[in-house]
Amino acid sequence: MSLIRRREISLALAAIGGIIMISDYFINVKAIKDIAAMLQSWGVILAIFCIFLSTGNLVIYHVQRLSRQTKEERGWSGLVLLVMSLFVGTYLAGRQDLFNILFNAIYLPINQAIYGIIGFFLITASYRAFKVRSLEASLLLVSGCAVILKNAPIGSWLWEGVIPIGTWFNEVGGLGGNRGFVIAAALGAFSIGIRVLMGLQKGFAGEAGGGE
Amino acid sequence: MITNQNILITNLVMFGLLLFFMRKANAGKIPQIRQIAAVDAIAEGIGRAAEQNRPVFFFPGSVALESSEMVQTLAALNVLSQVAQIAADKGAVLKCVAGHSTIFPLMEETLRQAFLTAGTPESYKSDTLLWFSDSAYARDAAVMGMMHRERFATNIIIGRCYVESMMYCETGNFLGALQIGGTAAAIQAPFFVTMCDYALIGDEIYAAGASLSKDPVQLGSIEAQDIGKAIAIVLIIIGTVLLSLGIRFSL
Repeated sequence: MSLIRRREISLALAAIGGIIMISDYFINVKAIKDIAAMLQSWGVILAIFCIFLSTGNLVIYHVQRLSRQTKEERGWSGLVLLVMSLFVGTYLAGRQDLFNILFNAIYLPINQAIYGIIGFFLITASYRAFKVRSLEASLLLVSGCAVILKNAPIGSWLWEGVIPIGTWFNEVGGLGGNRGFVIAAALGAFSIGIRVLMGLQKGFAGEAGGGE
Repeated sequence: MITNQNILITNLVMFGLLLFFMRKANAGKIPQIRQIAAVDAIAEGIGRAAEQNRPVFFFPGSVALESSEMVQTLAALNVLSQVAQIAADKGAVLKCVAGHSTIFPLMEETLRQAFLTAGTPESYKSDTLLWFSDSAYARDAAVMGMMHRERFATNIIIGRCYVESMMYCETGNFLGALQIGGTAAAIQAPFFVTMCDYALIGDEIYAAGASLSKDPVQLGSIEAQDIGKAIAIVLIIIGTVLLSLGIRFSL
């Protein structure tokens, strides 16, 4: 394996970058802040390369689907739209009106349509969630209804007492649970962060984790 | 010159605990962690997919590499490594979608290495890992379409998700897939609890990889986390009592 591919190098770079960013948070020294800002700019540049890499994968995927030539698996539309957007966005960069048509007439309406689907998913998910199958589901149903009625105008019209009950679920029951959740998750995040900095979390750098 | 002293002290204490318990585990005193139903369900789900000759879907959340919530994606990659090895072992087809282009190279390396470790590097194919778009709804439309075409038997969605959690899980539910979801984001956890057959809640996503891999270092760090939680509980109780008595102080 060549020197450049050596995992130790990538892990060391990750560790050095991480330590600089942590130092930037805790130490108020201009030199460290400058280096941290520079690293963040490098991150943006790296992200651009990732988009190239991912787009390459996307093209390969669609070309393979096209080559299979079965009616169900033919996926030409994605590839054509990708090439068309790239062409309009780069070669015809001066034609802002064309890009605006692509964006406003195709992308935005489709985007909004997909967003609209969430409404249906919310209803089906709520229906399943509010089925009373166990004690926990019953509690969820009661607390959920209280919070829904507290927020919906019809709730206070039906019964004024639903407002303090819904508020209690939000500000006492929910908030207490949420804080416990956040503390535990933060400790877990810290733990995994330290493992990355120490080079002990190395699956993404080309080395399998333990257990093998 | 030193800022955020309270956070620094907390971090140093946790760092010390982590070092101690990871070293202890490395020395052979490996802690036992409780069985997490969702973790057990991962192997079961992959086995089921292999039996049904249907693929397994994996999604590690949709945040970018530079996001502060990227740590959840790292936890998901940890699980992905084990999922890929189990899939290779059981002969199941694994299909993954990168939520963001910056995550793509990390997932690619994780998958390649996991399949190599499992002894089946040929399991990594050009359509094992896909990226559709960094735009959420464009990706969601593509993924939902793919779910319907491929009819996944098992959906594993772990990491920081947004609206896609509902879209993917409801689609998976429609297809009758076994669904395992997990997130450390408090606002997303209820969606997974509601819609998935098994859910990893909060810091369980960090423990999942350790539980699957049985890696002593990772198991040691889980023990350190638990000690940290115990300290937090004690401090909360002390703070509650002091505040109830009208005693206030700040560091």
